[in-house]
Amino acid sequence: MTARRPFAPETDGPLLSAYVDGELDDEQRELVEHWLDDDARVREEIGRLVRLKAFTDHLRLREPPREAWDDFRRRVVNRRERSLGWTLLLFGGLVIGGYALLRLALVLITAAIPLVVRLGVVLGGIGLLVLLVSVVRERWFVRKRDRYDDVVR
Amino acid sequence: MFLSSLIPPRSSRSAANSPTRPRVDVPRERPAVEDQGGDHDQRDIARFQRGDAEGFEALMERYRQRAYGLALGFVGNHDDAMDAVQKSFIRIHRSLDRFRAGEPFFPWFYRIVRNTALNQRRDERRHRGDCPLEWVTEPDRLPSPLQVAEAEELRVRLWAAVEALAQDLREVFLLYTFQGLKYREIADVLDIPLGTVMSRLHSARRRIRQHLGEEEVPA
Repeated sequence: MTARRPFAPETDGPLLSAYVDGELDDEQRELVEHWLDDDARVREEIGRLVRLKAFTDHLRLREPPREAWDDFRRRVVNRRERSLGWTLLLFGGLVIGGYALLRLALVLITAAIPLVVRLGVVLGGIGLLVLLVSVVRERWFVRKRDRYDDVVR
Repeated sequence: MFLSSLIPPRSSRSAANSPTRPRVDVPRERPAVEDQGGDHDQRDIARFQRGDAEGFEALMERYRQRAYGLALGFVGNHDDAMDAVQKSFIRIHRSLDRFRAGEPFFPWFYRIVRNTALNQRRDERRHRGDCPLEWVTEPDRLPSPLQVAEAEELRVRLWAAVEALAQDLREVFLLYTFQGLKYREIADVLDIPLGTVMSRLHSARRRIRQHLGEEEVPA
């Protein structure tokens, strides 16, 4: 049996909220009802909580328009497929790009090409590589900051 | 009070300001919502894990409305909520084969929707200032334009107060008030003690009251 201790406003407020919500066990409910009989502050606080609860009980979150679900399944499937498509495209691009770079390097080394052209191609290639690394690093950074990605229990 | 014409009176509300003990209609039983899917969820997850895509589609069909309500509470507008729901189901599809059989589905589902919606809220920030709340009850007689305007203002201010809450308080308030979960269910979903649910909900309400101004909460 819970002792009939006096109401402590600093710590007992949550019990009053839970009382209004009908979430207390029998002992706790008896304790709050004891306070209700004895303490005007409790009566006032319960009154405020009841008013707020009654007000929020008359509100709800909007439901989506009926047509929002019309092609929902198709949109989810499309997004899923496109996500897979982009991933495959990226890997394909990397494989082809790597092969092309290799071939280009071989041509630059073996073919009779003026030095200035070789230099131009190498500088252009380095510039492209810097841009690519910068974009990939930025995307990677955003992904790492996404604390909620791939949440699995 | 002005809302009396918009909202039918309740016995609990009319008694709340009584100098003697306020009569509180304590709701003894709040219907449980966590187990709505129950066996169906486990059956559909098992189907999906055996390679039957219809298992996932049945889950999606059953939970999409719920996901929308959860996401809307976090992002506050329809477009972002729909976007978050779609992304959530893509993540669920990606992770469902790793879901442990026998575990309750809703807490896992809730975390994915919550986290996706929070990311969406951080990244998009569209339509800030929208109020996604609406009245449950239609007025049974025509209130004056002034009363309607006052009620509308209060509705918008309530949402602003909810938006201003710290994330941990807001989450508990939304789950209890607009998703209909019981304290025990909220504790299970958020993996926090029951007492923490109680104190967070009370803190949320206290801050909302301060935001609204005590005298403005309708009697």
